Order: sequence, then structure tokens, then C-alpha cells
Amino acid sequence: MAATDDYDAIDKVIEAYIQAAKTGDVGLLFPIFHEKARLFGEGPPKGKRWDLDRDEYFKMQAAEPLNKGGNYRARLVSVKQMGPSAVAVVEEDGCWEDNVSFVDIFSLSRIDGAWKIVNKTYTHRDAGSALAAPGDLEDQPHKKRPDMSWRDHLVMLLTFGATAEHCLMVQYLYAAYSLKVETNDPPDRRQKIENWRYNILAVAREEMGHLLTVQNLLLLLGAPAALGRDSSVWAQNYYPYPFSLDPLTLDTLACFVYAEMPEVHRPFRDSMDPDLSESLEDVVRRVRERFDKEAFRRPDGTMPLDVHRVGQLYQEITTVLRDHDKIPDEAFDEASYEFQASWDEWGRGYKPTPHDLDAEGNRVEDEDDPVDDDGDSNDDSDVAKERRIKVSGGAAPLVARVDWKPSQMVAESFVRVDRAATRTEALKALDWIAKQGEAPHLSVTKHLKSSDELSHFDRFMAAYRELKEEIDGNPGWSPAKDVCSNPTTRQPPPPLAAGDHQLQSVVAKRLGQMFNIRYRLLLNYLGHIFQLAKTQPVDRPNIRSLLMHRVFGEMYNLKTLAGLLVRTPRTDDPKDGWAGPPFEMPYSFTLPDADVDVWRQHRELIGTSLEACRKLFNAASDPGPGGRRVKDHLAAATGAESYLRALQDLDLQTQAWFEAILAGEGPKGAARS
Amino acid sequence: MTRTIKGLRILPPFAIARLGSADEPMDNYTIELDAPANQDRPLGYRALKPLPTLIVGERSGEIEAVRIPTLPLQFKIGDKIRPVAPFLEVFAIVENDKKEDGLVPLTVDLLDHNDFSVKDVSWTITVANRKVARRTGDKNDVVTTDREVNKKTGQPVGRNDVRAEDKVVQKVVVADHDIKTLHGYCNNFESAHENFIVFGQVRFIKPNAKHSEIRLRFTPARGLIYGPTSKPGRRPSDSEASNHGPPLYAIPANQDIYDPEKGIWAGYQDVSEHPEPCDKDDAKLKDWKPRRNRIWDDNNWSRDFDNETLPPGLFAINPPAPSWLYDNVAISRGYLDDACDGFVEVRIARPGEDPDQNTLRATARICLGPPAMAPDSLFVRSLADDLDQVLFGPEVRKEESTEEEPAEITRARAQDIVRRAFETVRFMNVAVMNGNAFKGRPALSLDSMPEEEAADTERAIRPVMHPGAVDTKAITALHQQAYAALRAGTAPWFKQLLRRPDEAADFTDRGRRKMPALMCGADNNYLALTWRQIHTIEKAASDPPPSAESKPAAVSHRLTPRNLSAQIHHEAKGNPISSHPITSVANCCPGLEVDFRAVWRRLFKGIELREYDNLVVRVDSDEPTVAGLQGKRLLRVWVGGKEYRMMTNIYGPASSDPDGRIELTTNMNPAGLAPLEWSNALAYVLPHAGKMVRCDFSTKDGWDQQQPLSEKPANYVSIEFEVRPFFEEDTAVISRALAEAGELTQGLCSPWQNDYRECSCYYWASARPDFVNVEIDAGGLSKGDNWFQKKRTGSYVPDDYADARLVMYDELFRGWEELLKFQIGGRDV
Repeated sequence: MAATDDYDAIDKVIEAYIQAAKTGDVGLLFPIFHEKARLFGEGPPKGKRWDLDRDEYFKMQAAEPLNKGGNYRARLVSVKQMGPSAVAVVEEDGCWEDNVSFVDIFSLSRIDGAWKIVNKTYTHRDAGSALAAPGDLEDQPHKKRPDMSWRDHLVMLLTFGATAEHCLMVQYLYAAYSLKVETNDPPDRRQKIENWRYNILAVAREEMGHLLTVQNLLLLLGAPAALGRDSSVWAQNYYPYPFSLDPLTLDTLACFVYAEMPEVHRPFRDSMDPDLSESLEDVVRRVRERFDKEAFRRPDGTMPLDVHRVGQLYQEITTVLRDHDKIPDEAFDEASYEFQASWDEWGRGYKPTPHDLDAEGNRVEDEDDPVDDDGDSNDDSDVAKERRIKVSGGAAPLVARVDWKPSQMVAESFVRVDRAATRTEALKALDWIAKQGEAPHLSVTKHLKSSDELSHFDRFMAAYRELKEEIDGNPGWSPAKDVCSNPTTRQPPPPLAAGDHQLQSVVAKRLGQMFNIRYRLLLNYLGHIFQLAKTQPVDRPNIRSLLMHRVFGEMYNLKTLAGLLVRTPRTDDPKDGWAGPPFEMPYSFTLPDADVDVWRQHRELIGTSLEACRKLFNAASDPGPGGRRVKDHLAAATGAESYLRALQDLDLQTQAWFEAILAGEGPKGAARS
Repeated sequence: MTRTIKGLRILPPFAIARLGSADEPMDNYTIELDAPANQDRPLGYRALKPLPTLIVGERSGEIEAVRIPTLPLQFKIGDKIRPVAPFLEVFAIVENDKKEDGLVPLTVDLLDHNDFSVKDVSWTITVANRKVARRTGDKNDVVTTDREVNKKTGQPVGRNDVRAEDKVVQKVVVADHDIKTLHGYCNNFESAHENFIVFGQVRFIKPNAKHSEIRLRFTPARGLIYGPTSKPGRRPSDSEASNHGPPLYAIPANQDIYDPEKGIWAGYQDVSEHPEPCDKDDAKLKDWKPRRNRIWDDNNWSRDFDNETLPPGLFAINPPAPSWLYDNVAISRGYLDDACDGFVEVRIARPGEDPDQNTLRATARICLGPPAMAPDSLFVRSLADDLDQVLFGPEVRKEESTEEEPAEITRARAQDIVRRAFETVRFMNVAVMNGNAFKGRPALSLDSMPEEEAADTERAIRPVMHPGAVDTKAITALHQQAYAALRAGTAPWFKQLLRRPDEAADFTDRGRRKMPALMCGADNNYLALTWRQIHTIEKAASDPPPSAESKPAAVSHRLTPRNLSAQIHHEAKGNPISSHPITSVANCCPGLEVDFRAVWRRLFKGIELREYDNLVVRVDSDEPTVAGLQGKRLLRVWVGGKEYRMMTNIYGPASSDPDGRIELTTNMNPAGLAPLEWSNALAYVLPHAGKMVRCDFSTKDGWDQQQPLSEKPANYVSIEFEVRPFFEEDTAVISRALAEAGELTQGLCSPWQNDYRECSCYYWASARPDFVNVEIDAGGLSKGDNWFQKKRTGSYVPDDYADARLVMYDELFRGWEELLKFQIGGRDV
């Protein structure tokens, strides 16, 4: 694709078009349309041709401004320029009161230095079309590169899937950690906040399960683990929206809903409950307002919301995986099954209440809610009705538990860690990831009321609605502390990225460094676990399983350090608000080849954390004003000192553990100590 | 301030004495968290802190000196364990300047101000051991300091010597400052008048100028074992072996006092499995069964009824032992011990005053338990937790008001629970307790909760957690990590993982993996915390995080007549922490210091329930509907419009469906029901003390089996009963109506040393340890010794109850003081 040199000029032309289309002010169109320009297209209504010359088109546009319904939105999807010619694609939604959608293809020509539209061809997109697909032209699975095999392509997609899950998980965690509960909050609000946090963390916990499941699938395909967060352009294609660590606001929560929402058709209100429809519209509007901006345009010219959501990524993975020609049976390493992560090890008891069976193994129906022959609940109470809001329009009716209120009912989380030895099991595992994430799983079970599982979409959507209600009723109130976005411990040069906030106060900086170290340790332990899988017994205590406990221990550390950071001033100026957990990635996640060197690396990282802690305590003991400030900041994060002393104790124990293991390695362990 | 004495209290209202045969009692000490010396290792063991120790002159009976002992504390002198001999202090209710009633120490000066003298102070002590009577059902097996005497002559009388109206109960009264030895007499001893068990000593401490407070000291017994000879009628020789092991313990002559021809304790056994006495050859036992039946008839029990405890057995048996390895044959050797519990009462009365009119009296309870062998560790659920639930209820509220408890206090209490959790787990060999095979040996041969579960449900044994993930040091570190997080003010995130009391019998993987894991509760199922502990963690999860502005609030320890919590937790001068309820375990199955289950039996006036389940064992009403309840099951209680069931379903995994569960039934338990332990089951009933509540009882007899509850058709009868108050009015003393002297310890093992042998550490790991001297081996895994290993090798010997490398029953009976090693810092002292 040639460089788009005149992008700005073309953009201005399209901007003028959009403004004119919105308002009917055709005066704006005259300068940008060639006098011989024509319009070609079909519908609405379906079947009617609209092949018009310029003036006929202008007349029609003046009479029917697209923003009549007040919902008009448009965005420039792509521009391709070849010298003095260009093609621009624009998507329009919310046209007129019917909320009709269009995809417009403009042909432009540069005439005497000015770009003019010489042709407009359009496609009418009605309610049966997908929302987030970037139009029919691009609603195609991502094409495999010719220099990759299908297995390699599949591994790449799974790797991006893991990356996307990882990114989402840390974003969810960041938002949850930013929530504030204040002593003077009324009890019902405190309960709401606590339950929102609980539900967001429940999702994050379940995402961890997804991450492990994807690692298992990678193992099954003989591929390396993918534990990092890939920020390459390739990977970004699969992110639902640009990565950003933000405190919880309606906008943030809207992004979470957007990331997890199922495939639903627009306009919403024709296919679903009006309340849900309105909420989803609101969500999409917020996300678009935030990211449909030039600042987010990618180097390849696409916009972030053009691309597939996470769910569609998994759809692609499933499509490829299902294909026996593309992925033959030989690609699967059945023997990897016993080395894969299991719920037994990782689930920690997070699963729903088992369903009751009789002595013959038949399900025992809940006496309170007998189901009929169709599997539908016979409970016609208002509560049951509220729960079963059907979303029609898809292949099967979807049910969203959107009237469930997080503040009134805490739904337990269910960490799924699925293993797979075969193609079928792999497909089933992916299906579960999709269902737990975006697609309300309830649609495929007959026993709606007896299930207490909620999808991520359920949780986020319900929290969004509740939060909106709370904010609408209390203007100016925010559920989150004044925590910065995208904190960093990095010092320039090179310059910090726009939107990054440096942790400048001594305490914030040190805690931020420790946070990054613990984050790295967690991921290193995880990687080491997969490395050790084939060498450790499973039927008795072993190092691999003990490392698993370390992973959980580091999760607790991250949770704790995050909690301290959001109570620590970011800089020495109180106006700069609070710090936040940076979640910064190290230069590499690759572990050394030799096991002994991996242990050494763990030991080194522990040593670095101890050193950061020691420096912080030293800074606090400085008698000067700097030391006093450090003491004050530590006091602001009440409990920090107590925790750090306990962490030091733990790290010393951990070092002793590493020493014992290294000593057990014999001369290998002693060398380079 | 007026100084008129309006009333008296003895504090603490519940004190634990601990057995030991050394002449010098244990020094005073406490255990500290975050001691300055431990500042850099806050996750280590609590620091032992010596405290002022009161030295009582043997001759004078006065406190002659106060000494702060030096570290290291000496828990033994030679091979003899130093007993814990608590002081009981008398406090007076007086009015202060603000016209509020306060509690102040009763001193000579205060007595004088009220026209009393020290000579007007007297003490009455009643302690008893009912362990044997609990099993045999024979009142004549009660060993008590109370004696029946001839009203006219004052001479002790036997059970049939005189008519009831001609005898009176004589109690031990102490009015001087001499040492008074407490003798426990029993009608079934060879001589009811001359044979006795020494329960210890009491001394009214003589006040002096420096220590003018009124106090009593209780010095416990030496931990001796009494009984008949091992085979009634003859003494064993030293060479006689007990099932391939060490020689039988020989009861010393002066402790050979139980008469097997009077009582049925020697040769006692459960009749249902072994209808004929197994020791038929013994002449003294040949009429054992008819004598037993007579006692059963007197109790109005069905002759098939096995008056078991839970766990069953819990007494020294004729070898081979333990019974479950040998066809469940358990024939009692007839042993008794010198543990006891009861009351100490103080009275101030002028000469000639009518004692029944006297209002200046107070009572406290005392119990004798085994030594606290790991004094720097506390158990995850202690008697103090259960008493807190009684005092404050299962929900978390601020003291003495209906306001919510301040967040800082809740946070501190939540931290304390997690702290005690890792203090407990570090003494467990988690891999063995998990039900893992041990070096190839099957898990079914080793004692653990999964093994118990398999035996009770007749299902295959399964490890609870993933077998690879269970290492003591690693699990301890994980708990410590959680604790560290809570210290930072992080909201607890694991409430979903806490076992609810009604989930104790959920044997699915999901149920068994809940916390606390791998340990046994008072109902013999998986341990649950108290409701109050659970709600503490739940509340801490929703409280705001700590802030620099919030000031730490403190629980009020101000001693007032109304502050019952402060009274219960009062630290009398000179009393080491091991005399406090916080060092007593609460998952009493049966317990170590007390069997707290016993306290709930008579909560409903008119009936007596079994201490470990919902069987009505006695009624004390002639009213026909009530009288007919004996043998029935209490299914449910209604309070505040809500129902509280007394049983829960036993669930297990479904073989065919990993996401399903089935009810586990057996022939003995066709309904698949498990009783809930009383402390939690009745937690919501107790606040309705003094009121009538509806109780639903089974219409069918349930002597041997649980009865299910059914609504359609209804299989129960509803009767209202009054709920008794837990404490004596206006005091923190557990009501006498709920438990007489000897009843708080009656469910414990006889002798208690038997329990140390038989109960593995999955009951009370930080009180009866399992895994000691734990270190990391070259493979990064935990290694250490079994506390009961005779030789410390660093290679753990799992307990199969037969391994001669472990201390066995008779060795323990003979030399428990030498064999049991105190643990400080997780290591042998």
C-alpha cells in the first residue's frame, strides 16, 4: 500500500462530507464534490436503486439529514491513495430515526491540488448485519500469511489470544484496585462497591483460568508458552481496544463490556429488551467516542475499533482448529496432557456448587423450580422474568442476566482450567472460554435457574448499569480514587509515552519497582512451571507444585502492593493524585535454558526486591525533610511498613528455599553463586 | 466514690490449670506478636515474654516475692513438667465517682471499709471427674470432691448406708491459708471413704501489705493414672507385652483403687457389636452384663443403646490397641485420670450470718487440662472464639451496642484468624494429612481426615488437594503471604473459600478444599470456623481500607460488671497465658482442656441432648409429650421466623459426573445426614435466652440413626421450650444448669494420655503437634520428625498406630512427662 501522503487533506474532505450528511447543510458539499460526481447504491428500502447525479443527490441529502434521529455517527475506516487517486471508506450508523447503517466508498481525485469526490458508492447495512465487523468488505477472517504454515498461524492466533487475555486481565485488576470505599459511605454504597470489585476480580480470576487453558492448548500443539503481553502491531490487531491502565469510570467499564460483549445485531432495539438495548448503545457510544480518534490510528491506517473483538479471535481460532486439512491430527501432542495445567492444581476451589444427582446418576431437579419438557423454567415469578431477558436475532436465543444486581447478590467465580488431549477437547475448551467470556452460557443449558454462573459480559453489563444509576443519582461522585492512568517507573530518555504518568515520589517509585519485580517473578514462576512439567512427579509433593504456590503468593503481593500504591501520592505534589500499579513488562520473559540458572534468576529477583525494600526503609530513616516526606507517604499507605517487613521475612525464607534447591543441584548449583 | 461492696466476682471466670508433676509451678509468661526482637521476622513464632511471677511461700501462704524469670523459660524441671497453677482473683462491685458500677480488686482495705475481715472470707470448691460416669451411665462412677455425710454425725456415708433424708452433701471449704489437697471420692472405688484421686490443691493466699488482694491459687494434679490393675484381680508382670510392644503399664498400688466388682468401668465395652463380654474368663466380670443392663434400665435406655462418645472408645483398652485395627474390640482397662473441672466459690459472711441470705458471693469455673506443648503457637479456632460468639453473637457487631464493629477492630481480628491458621498448619505434615500415599504405603493405613471420611462413608479414599501441591513449608508460606497482605490493609479476598458450618459434611472436592482444610471439627467432619469468625472475614472484605486519618480503635478491656468479655479475658496477676481460653482448642472432638460440646446439652429446659448430636438422651419432665421425646431427634429450631436445622446432608462426588454430587448414605445412616456441632448450630438460638422457641422433633425413634426431616408428609412434632441463659445471671460464668462440676471434661479421653496417642494432629495441630523440627531438604521439600517419634532422625514416621518407632500407649501412660517434648519455634526444646 502506498504511503498516504495527502491523508490530512483527504480526511478534511471526508470530515466535511460527514458534517454535511449529518446536518443536511449541502453548502459544505459543493466544494468537495466534483460537478460530475455521481451516487450509486441500493436501499433503503431494500431493492430500490439510488443512482443519482450530484444535484439530485444534494437535494436528497438536504431533505433528509442523517442525524434526524439524533444518533448519527460516522468514522473514516480507511484511506488508500495511489498518487492523485484515492479510495476512502466511511462507516455510518444511526442514520435517521431508523438507525440505518451505511458503508460508503468514496473515489477521490486530486484536481489542481485539491481533492474532490468523484463518486460515492454505498452499501446499505440493515439490522441483520454485524456491529463491530468493519463492514462487509473487511468481514473476513484474518488471512494467513503465505510465509506461515496453518499450524504456525494457529499458534500465532493462540498466542495473541493469550496476550489479549493477559492485557484484559491486568486492565480489570487495575480498575478493581482503584475503587475506593470511604468511611462515610453509606452501607449500601459500600456494599455495591465491594461487590463491583468482587465481580471484576472474579472476572480477572477467570481470565487467569483462560490464560492457563490457552497455555495448555499451546502445549498440545507443541508450542512454547505465551505469558507476555505483546505490543506488536500484529498482536494489537486482536485487542478489542487500545491497552490502557485506567481507574474505574463508566468509560472504563464500558470498555470492559465492549471487550466481552457477544455478537449482537444492530440496531439493538429491534432485537432485545429496550433497557438492555439502551445500555449497549450507551456502551458502544462511549467506546467509540473514546477511541474513534486520530490519535489512535494504527501505523497500517486502521482504527482500533475496526478489528475483531476477543470473541471473534477465538472464533477464528476455532475455525482453523476445526479444519482437518489445515491442522492434521499429527499436529496434536496427546502426551502433553499430563503436563498441562489442571483445575485440580490451579482451581483453588473456585467452581460452582455441584448439581445434585440421585443414586443412579440422574439429575435431581430443584423442587423450587421444576423445568418443563422444553427445559424452560416454569417459574413465572417476576424475579425469574427479570432474569430471562431474551436477546433474539442470533442463531439461538441468548439470555442476558442484566437485571441481576451485583450489589445484591454475589455470584461466585468459576475458574476454568481445561486440558486437552485431542482436537475435540481443544474445541470444547475454546467453547468454554468464549461462553464464560462473552456468550451467556445459559443459552445452552436447560437448567437456567439452577445455574449460578455468570459470564463476564453479565457481570460487567450489570455493574455498568448499576454504576450509571449511582452516578446519575449522585452527580460528581466517582467510584474510584484519583488514581493516575498508565503509571510508569521509567525515567526518560527516551521520552515517556503520551498518557503515561511517572511515579515520582520515593515511596511510589520504590513500591512501583517492587510491583514490577513481583509481576516478573509471577510470570517467571509460571514459565518455569511449564518448563518443569515433564520432569516432576504428579502423585507427590514436587517443586513444580510448590512453584505454583509461589505464583499465588505473588498474586497476593501484587494485590497488596497495588492497594498500597493507590494510597500513595504519585509525586510530592498532592495535586498529582495517587499512584497506581504499573504492570510494566520486563525486557524479556525468556527463561534460561539450564534449570539451575532459572533458580538463580528467581533468587536474583528476590534479592532485587529485598534491595528495593531496604532502600525504601533507608530513605525513611533519613532525618532530613526528604526522609520525613518518605515517612509521611509511607504512613499515608497505612499498613505499608508492616507489610514490607513481613514481605522481607517471606523473601528471606524464599531465598533460603532457593539456596537449598541450588545446594541440591550440587556443583552446578555452587558455580556462579 | 463509695466503697460499699455491692457484689463480688471471681476473675477470670474460667481458668485452665495444666497438669504436671514438678513441685514448682510454671512461671508467668505471655506470647507476643511483633515483639521488638522479632521486628525483622514478624512471621516467625510468637515471642515468649516472661512476666512477673508471684512466688508463694510454702509455709506462709503469702506472696513473698515477685520475680521476672529469665529466658529461656523452663517448662520442665528435669523430666517433670511444671504445672500451670492459676490464681483466681476476687473483685468487688463498687460505685465510682460517676455513679457507675465498677469492678475493683477486693483487698483487705476494702474489706475493712465494709466491716469485714479476711477471716470472713471462705472458699468452697467442687470439682469432679465424670469421664467414667459419662460412659457407664452410673452415677456411682462420678469422682467428686463433694461427699455425702451423715447429717447427724458428719461422717462419710456410702450409697446405701443411710436414707437420703439423713444425709447431706459436704463440700470442700477453705477458710484458712493452708494448702488444701482436693480428694475426689467415688462410690465405686474399693473404699468409698478411703480411696481417692488427688485432683490437686487449693490455697487461699494470705494477703499481706504488698499484696493485699484476695485470691485463691489452684494447683493441678500430677497427671497420674488410676484404676484397677490391667486385668482385674491380678497385676501384670514387667515382661508382659501389649500387642508386640512395650510392657503393660502397671498401676501403682496406691492408685489401684477402682473396684471392678462394684462398677462396670473395668471391662466396659459397647454391647451392640459384642453382645457377650469378651473377657468371659475373668471371675470379677462374669456378671458384668447384668450389672450393665441394670444401669441402662435405671437410665431408661434401650439395652441395645450404645452410650458412645464421639469419637467412640476414647479410653485405655486391653491390648491390642487401637480397637479399629482389631475388629473394633475395645474393652476398658478401667483407667481414670486426675483431670477434672468444677467450681470455685468465694463468700464473705460474718460469723452467724445465714449463708443462704448472703449475697456477697461469686463463682468461677476451673478445669484441668494437659500441658500446652507448643506454647508459642495458637490454634485457629480456640475456646475464646466460641465464647466470643456466645457473648457477641454470630454477626459482627460493636461491643454492647447494635452499631457495627469499627473496621480497625474487624481487620485486626481477621488478621488474627489468618495468623493462627498458619501457626496451626506449620505443625501438620500436610502431605500425609492430605491422604497422600507415603513412600508407597497406602493412605488408608495412615491416620488422616480423608481416611476417617472414607471409613465413615464406606467410600474410596481420595486425597483432598492435588497430591503434588501439599508441602508443609510451602502451604505455610502461602498462608503467611495472605497474612502479610492483610497486614497492609488488603481486604480479604478468600471468603468464598471458607467452609460454612453447614458444609462440614460436603465431601466433594469443592467442599473438602475449603478452609480450614484437612482438620476435624467438633462434629467429626471437616472443621469450620465459628460463624462469627467467618463473618469477621466477610466484613473485613467490605470495610474501607485503613487510612492515615483513622485511629485504631481498641476493644474495651475495661472491667465493669457488664463487660463480660473483659471479665473472660482478664489476665490475673501471675497467670501465664496457657491458663486462658485462647489456648484451649474449641473443635472439641472431644477436646483437650474441655469438651465444650457438653455445655449445649441442656440449653432447652426440660430435655438433655447428646453432646455430639441431636439425640434426646434424657428428659426431666413428666409431661407426656416431653417425656416421650427421649430417643427422638431434634431436627430443627425456629427463631425469628427462620428455621435452623440441626443436621446437614453428607455429600460426595458423583463417580460419573465430575460436576455432580450425590448424597452419601450407608446402612447405618440411610438418610445420609450429619449432625451439626452445637456451637454453630445454636449460635442464632442463644440470643433468645429466656424465651420460648419452637423445636421440631422426629416422631420416630432415632437411638441409632439420624432421622430426616420431611414436610410432606410431616414427620415431626413441634414443641416449645425455653432457652436457658448461657451464663449465670450478670456474670461471665457458664451456667451451672448447663454443666455441673465434671461435665465439661466428661467427654474427654480417660485417661487423657490416651487421646494424645490416638488423636492425630488433624485435630489440634498447634496443641498436639505432628510435624516438628521441620526444615527444607535438598529437593526443596519439607522434612522433619513426627512429634511422637522416639528418635529424632529428620525422617518423618507416619502414624499407623503400630509402628514401634512411635511412642505407644503404655509408654505414654508410664512416662508421658519425659516423652512429650515441648516445642518452641517449631523445634524440640
